[in-house]
Amino acid sequence: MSDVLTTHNLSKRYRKLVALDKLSLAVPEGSVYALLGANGAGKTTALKLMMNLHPATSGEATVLGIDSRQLQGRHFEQIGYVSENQDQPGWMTMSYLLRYLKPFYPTWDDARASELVTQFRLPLDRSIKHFSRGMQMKASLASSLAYHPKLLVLDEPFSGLDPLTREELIEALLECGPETSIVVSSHDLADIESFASHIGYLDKGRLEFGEELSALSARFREIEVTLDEPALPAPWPAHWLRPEASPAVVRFVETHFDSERTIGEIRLLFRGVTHIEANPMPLRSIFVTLARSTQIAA
Amino acid sequence: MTTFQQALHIFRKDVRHLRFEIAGTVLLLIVLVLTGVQTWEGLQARGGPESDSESALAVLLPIAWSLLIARAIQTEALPGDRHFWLTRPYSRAGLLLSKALLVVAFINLPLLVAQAAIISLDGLPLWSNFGGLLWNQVLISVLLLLPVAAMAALTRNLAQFLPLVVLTGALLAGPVSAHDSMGDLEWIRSSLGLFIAAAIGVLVLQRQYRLRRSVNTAFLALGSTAVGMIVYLAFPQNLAFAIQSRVMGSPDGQLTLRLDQTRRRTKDTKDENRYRQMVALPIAVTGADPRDLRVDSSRITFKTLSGITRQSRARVNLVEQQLVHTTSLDRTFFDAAKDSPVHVRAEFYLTQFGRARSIDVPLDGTPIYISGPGQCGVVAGYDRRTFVCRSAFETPRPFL
Repeated sequence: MSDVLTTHNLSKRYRKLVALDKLSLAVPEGSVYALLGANGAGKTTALKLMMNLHPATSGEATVLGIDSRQLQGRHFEQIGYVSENQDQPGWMTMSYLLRYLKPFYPTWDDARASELVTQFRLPLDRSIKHFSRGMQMKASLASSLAYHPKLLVLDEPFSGLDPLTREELIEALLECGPETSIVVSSHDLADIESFASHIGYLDKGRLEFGEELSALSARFREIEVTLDEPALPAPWPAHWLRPEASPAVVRFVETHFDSERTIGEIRLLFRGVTHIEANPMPLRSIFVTLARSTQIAA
Repeated sequence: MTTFQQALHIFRKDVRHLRFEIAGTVLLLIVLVLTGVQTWEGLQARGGPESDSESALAVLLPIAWSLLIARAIQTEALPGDRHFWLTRPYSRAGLLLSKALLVVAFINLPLLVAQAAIISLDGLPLWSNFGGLLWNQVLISVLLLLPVAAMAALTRNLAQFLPLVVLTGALLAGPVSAHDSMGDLEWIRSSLGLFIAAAIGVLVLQRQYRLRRSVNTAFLALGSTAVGMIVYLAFPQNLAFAIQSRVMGSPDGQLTLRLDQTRRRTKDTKDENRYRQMVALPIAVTGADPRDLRVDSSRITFKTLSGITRQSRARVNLVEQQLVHTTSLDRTFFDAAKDSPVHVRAEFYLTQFGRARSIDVPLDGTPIYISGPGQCGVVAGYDRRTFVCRSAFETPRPFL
């Protein structure tokens, strides 16, 4: 399986501010790659560099085999970009928007377009400027999915939307076949978890990790150790995060879980272990753990 | 879609989007035609030409055109990263072409048609004025439409565009209007200004539509405009004359001009005042009839024996079939130098006419068309007859 999008040491500086610091990632074909991170982590900057909306300070990105610095015009026949910050042609009605965009895309699918319009309950005769925020996102997504793009880039698509609208958007994304690879940045971890195949975590412009969601979920465990005499060992392993100790119980998050090795390590560091429980973590908990650990480290 | 098909597609979208702005400009042009027609019969009925008055349309039309161009270009704004078209398969060349099509279709062509209609309804020959009509299109395109398009390409919306236009206009209008005129050589400098304006406009549009680097392009435009203004304002008169001579041909080599020693030099007492003294110097011309000469511009330098110099511009008039060079000197210098020898050096930039032609104009009021001055005839007023020439684009030359 080839990669539809790769970046190598992609960096962006705004004077002294490092918005993106040597980002290297690969988005495999057919995957849904979620770029996570707190506000200001560099997610939007990364996507804008990939789409050639801003020039990179250094490094490079390749999108569908094309250097992102060369990306323009015809290349977007196979790329969809939906952003919460995008200015839509508000004067157009939904119907005119679709009619206007159709000739730009050789792969435009009228049936798919009208299916999406029905699915999203978009009024065809109303100007886009009179749409609610959620409807504008749906309109943008419908006009980007109607030509079956090979790559769909979504920048905070669910931000500020009600749960029903989010659900509708996700449903539409899930309907995309394997021919469409998706890169999505979001805070909405619960939603992302339901359809992402890969996760990249950005912090202060740096990619802390980027891997398959299944591998990530397997790697993170919330560990609860019941002891005879509670005490936090010193030195505390760096891959054990958010330690909490209460009488007889120690809790922490293991970031490199391996059943045998982790239990061995626990027994080595703690005395009087009576019970060990390793619970899988939802993505939201993983994200919060990482974000808090980074804050504490900072 | 090919680039041209895409340009047409975007053009159709813009026409739909900007239909009210387009209708506004076309309506103004219709008003221009309805109010701008002046027939020879009307001129005769009034007993003379109508006094020139600045029409409100002369202000409204450029404003309407500017707004139309800005709205059209900013529909797909070039600065910023939020516009939807940036991540759609737009060809930059197609986009630029679509905007050019809109300007040609709804500004240039309607104006051409309106001006042609005015000329025809005025009773002036259309074909003879076709060059003027086209030149007018060039002037409007280069001096108004292109700079406006360039400024629209550097801004995101009207809130940014309007202050930029006002500021640029204010900064350029001062130096351009305050500079000393080169007289009949001014067209050389105007052509240079035209070229500079066109070059900067094209540079900005080309860079913005190709690279979309708004800040860099804005600085480049600012620098180019500053350099262009310096070149324009400091353009030497002798170079302008050399260019004109090359374009139009040099006067006869036998032609000489010198101070006429045989005639009595008099001070022009009529213009005398406490601070200035008008000095009229007769000039003897050999090798040409003085009536065939038009002095485009002249400059004279007086130098006393003690080395005090004064340089001033001068006008040269034809008085009793002789050229008379009239200049104004400050009173202090004149009083100090009037009774002692003075070294005088004068520069003349002149045009020598040949092949004099004559055309009879009937006195009964029937106008005839003369290539150059335009339509000429005699207009009978209340108590006198006036010889009137009028043309579509130029003020009739006085020497004719």
